[in-house]
Amino acid sequence: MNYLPLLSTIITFFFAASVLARWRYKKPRHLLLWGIGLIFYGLGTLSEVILSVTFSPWVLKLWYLTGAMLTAAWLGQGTIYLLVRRRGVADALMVALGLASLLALILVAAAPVTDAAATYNVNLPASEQYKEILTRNGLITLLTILLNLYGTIGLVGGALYSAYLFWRKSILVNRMLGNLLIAAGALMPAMAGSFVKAGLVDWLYASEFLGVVLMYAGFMLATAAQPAKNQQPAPAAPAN
Amino acid sequence: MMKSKRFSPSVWTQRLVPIVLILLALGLLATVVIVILSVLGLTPTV
Repeated sequence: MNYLPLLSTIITFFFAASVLARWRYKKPRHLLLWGIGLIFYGLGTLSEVILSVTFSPWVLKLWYLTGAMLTAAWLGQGTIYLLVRRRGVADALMVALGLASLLALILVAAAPVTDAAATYNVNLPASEQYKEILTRNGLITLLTILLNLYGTIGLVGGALYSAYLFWRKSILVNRMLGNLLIAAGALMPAMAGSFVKAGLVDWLYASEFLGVVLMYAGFMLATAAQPAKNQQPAPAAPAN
Repeated sequence: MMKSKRFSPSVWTQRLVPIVLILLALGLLATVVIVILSVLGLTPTV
């Protein structure tokens, strides 16, 4: 068994529980979507744990659907809800994401598994072997790329934009640093996933672990209470 | 009266934060470029 995905899974589900616990109070949509995105993240790493013990085509499909297709997009959609204030835009994008996710589910569930599944090696990462086992048509590949681009630009770009605003206005230092950590954390698995898709180096397990640790630390920092320094009011700025 | 959330920028928040922001933005750009290159078939496999 590979222990890095197991650690990532435990941390990710704790992280998801923290986010959803905060969501329960005022029920802001961005926290719900981040919680769902983190559950997808955890299901992806949990699939890696299972695939490092035994092979199942359905677990491989779950890994591809959650880890490669849905996680980034749903996390990014949370940031879209947080930052896009124009009425109806975030809701329209949410409908498009919902439909794209449903299509992804159907396509991956129906994707044929090749005979290479018989030679699956549990000692190697699933990311090194899935291309020979899971038949992906052009639409699956296109959806994977579009969902990842949308999610990565939304999540990383949104966190960088928030951090920049806090830095420029010199307010909420904890949120500025928290957003930097979230951006760095989100970028790690996104870069690693891009490398895997492009057939380059495979450091997916390590990037998933570091990514969730940094994002969790960033979230805790950004949402921590900050002591007031003086009595001067602060200007308004978007907050995570 | 509302309490302030302002902080006094130190040397490292003035200089290091923009550098980190630029590095992360470049990382984001690199990710997008790799994805586009892979779509165009300019990387080993897709």
